[in-house]
Amino acid sequence: MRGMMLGMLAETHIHSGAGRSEGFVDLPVAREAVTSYPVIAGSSLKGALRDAARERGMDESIFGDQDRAGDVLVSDARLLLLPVRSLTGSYRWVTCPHILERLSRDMRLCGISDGFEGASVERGKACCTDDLNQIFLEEREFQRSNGIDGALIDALKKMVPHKQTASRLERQLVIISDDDFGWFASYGLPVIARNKLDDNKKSKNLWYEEALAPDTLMYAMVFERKDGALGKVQSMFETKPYLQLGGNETVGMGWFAVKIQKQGEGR
Amino acid sequence: MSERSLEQERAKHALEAVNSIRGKSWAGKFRSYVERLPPAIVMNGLGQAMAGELAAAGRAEEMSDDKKAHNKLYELVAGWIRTRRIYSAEENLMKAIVDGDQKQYVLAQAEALAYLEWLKKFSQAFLEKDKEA
Repeated sequence: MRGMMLGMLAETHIHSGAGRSEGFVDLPVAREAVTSYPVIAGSSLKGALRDAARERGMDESIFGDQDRAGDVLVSDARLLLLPVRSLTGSYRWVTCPHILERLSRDMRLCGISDGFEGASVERGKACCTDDLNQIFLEEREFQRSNGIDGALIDALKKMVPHKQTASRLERQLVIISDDDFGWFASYGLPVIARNKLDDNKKSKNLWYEEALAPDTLMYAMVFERKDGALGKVQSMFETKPYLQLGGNETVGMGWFAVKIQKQGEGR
Repeated sequence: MSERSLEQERAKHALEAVNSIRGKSWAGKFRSYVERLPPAIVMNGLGQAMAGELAAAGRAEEMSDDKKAHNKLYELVAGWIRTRRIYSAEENLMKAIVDGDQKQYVLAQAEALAYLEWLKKFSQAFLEKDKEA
């Protein structure tokens, strides 16, 4: 079975919701139950792909229908880099060893060679390419640890659709421990206050929703059950390399720029 | 050892608090401030958000309803963090936050948010909505 990877860079805020929940905001984003990383469910992604195919006037039958399974398998979109505000520089792209290990495994599943070493970093420390002694992320402070493997930076660059954006990666990438990252994944996302006003411009309904910030980098895997299906998905993004996904479309949210990474022989 | 789980303890503390506020003139205000505090903590951090509550509560002896509601909210969250013994018990929360280390801060923030989930739920269940907010 052949597979390919979709690098997905958020161009706007993304709200792929989990419905009303028990969380600290009214409308949280969907998260993986075990890791608490934000995630976009495979079913949501597949629906967005189908919608994109329809909108482009292309064959949507590869996504199947009620009586017939589709020709492509679509994974969840997984988190790769989380933008976090920082006093030391505008913002940082933050990730952790666990996410990088998962990326490496997923790349192999797609038949793409990973070619980078896994990272390791202690709690309270941060790997980066800067020569700063301390790095501030939100209101937390990290001591500088090792640098970052160049092969890893190259692999990440291949996930980013824009050349200029990719060129900032080396400077802004930070790797922190899994435990520290968990905190940012839980509490480090933008919270947007929204309101409905009555005729007198008074608040009728203030609510808070969580979103993924622009420049969040995610990736998903697509496999084919039938030869040629991957090519059809790929061709969807040749003329327009964008995908709209999740809620709040009419208030400008949910746009990803998509970069497809070459398909190899999978599993 | 406690027979109750931590979640039960949080719920108990929050339920007792909300019951004691029922019927007070500032109950509605309290409810709307409770709804706003968790996002404020996530957006600005625990220290900033709690300092904000403290500032809103002010120092006046005869407090307005507004200030009473802010003050009560501050006291409840600070009280719960004290119960969890993240910082040494005698310390006032603001001092504890600025003197404590990052591990304590991260823990205190997580505790505050977990507690506020219950406080918010019970406020929405038992306190009337503020008409002005």
